[in-house]
Amino acid sequence: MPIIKPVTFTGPLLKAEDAYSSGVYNPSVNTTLEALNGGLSKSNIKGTPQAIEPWAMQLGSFAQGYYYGFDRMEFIYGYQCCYDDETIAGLPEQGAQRIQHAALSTKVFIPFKPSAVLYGFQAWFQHDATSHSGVGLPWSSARSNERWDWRLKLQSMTGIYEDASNALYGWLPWGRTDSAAFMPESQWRYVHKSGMITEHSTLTKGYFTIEFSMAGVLLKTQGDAKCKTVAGGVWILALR
Amino acid sequence: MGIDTPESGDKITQASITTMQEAVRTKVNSMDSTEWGRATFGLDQVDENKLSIIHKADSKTHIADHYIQAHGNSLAASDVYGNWKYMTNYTLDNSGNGYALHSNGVDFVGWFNCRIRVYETSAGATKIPGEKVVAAFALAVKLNGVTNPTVLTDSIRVVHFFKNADFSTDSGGGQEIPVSIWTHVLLGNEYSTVESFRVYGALLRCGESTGAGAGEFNNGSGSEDKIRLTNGTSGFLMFRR
Repeated sequence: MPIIKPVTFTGPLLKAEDAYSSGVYNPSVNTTLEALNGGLSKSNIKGTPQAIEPWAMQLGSFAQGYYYGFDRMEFIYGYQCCYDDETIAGLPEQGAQRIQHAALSTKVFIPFKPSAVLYGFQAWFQHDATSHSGVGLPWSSARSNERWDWRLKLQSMTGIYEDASNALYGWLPWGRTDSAAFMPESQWRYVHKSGMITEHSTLTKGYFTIEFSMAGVLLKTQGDAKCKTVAGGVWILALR
Repeated sequence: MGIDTPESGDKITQASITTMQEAVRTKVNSMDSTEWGRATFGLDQVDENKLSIIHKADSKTHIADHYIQAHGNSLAASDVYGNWKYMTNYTLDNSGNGYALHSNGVDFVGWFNCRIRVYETSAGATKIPGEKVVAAFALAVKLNGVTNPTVLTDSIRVVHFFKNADFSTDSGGGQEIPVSIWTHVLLGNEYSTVESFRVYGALLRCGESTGAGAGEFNNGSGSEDKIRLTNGTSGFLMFRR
């Protein structure tokens, strides 16, 4: 059933309003040629089946993604860290004082309204956070477990998804202990995390920002403690 | 379907507008695939609200601590749903309504991830896990008309604990083991509904089917060791076939 109607004029004179609104261009209805800009439907297609074959669609029409991987070391040092916002038991600072990880942060433009957005990161870390026995951090006098924690934040132009998913937070696997020969710091620790957003009402076309940040909870004398990111990648996939 | 460009001096009339619009609309109202080229259509031609390649999708995040206190005997599917822990906090079931499958069947992609924080005794005291003890995870779907959950055997994973005496000696320890599973399965048109997507977990003794070695793994009734998980996420995507 054709959906684009013939152009009609309200009188003998050629009025631009008639031409545009009834036949050529009226973005509010798809019975004008404006249908070519997003208003095509199954009824426009002739033949059986009334379908567009996959080869007739441009790549990226239904899925667009981005993966940024790297294999050069990134360094974060203890000197960059502080934990003066230690207001929640066991949790380091939550916001601005975290250290942005440039290689695991990116911004991606998604040109359509997605039905689902998958995202995640993977990386190998090499760090020397240490379990010290008998040396106290401010919140523990018996044993001090230094650690590096990570946080992934996903944000679009209309939504911040970090708060709704605190799962995008974690601690790196162990570095080393001061009381045993296990867990040498030279080993690489693999961490992967992924998630998905399907709340269609909050998803729109536009920029999606992924920010990966770290914070070190370290003894105050351990400013030269370091966390090396040996290799990794961050990715996002939007599905229409 | 080309539109003639007016010459300089030509008058634009109702007829010229009508002729142009008629030529275009006749084609657009009845497009024939034989006239299309490769990659004819793109983002701008199709209605974004009417086209989706996803049949169903859902995900869930569980933030609070969660325990696995169950021992398994093997990685067999029957043992997974028979003896492993059914981790209900990660179940997706559309509020009990399930997810109707497409009549052609679907490609089902499921995933789960979480973090293992601490190994504990049944009483909640931290404990050093034995070297042969592993944590095991599996994903499953409960299909309409199928009695037992269908374990997606490709998803079964075991996780070794660090060989580290300090792994569980401090509940505030700065260490975690990340767990991440992705899997794919074809669900044919012989099924109508996925009633639920499930995650199972257990503690196993690697290389031994039964038994509880002293100091290794207490799996006796009422005294089973357990692991504490912290926040995790489960989810799936279905693509129509």
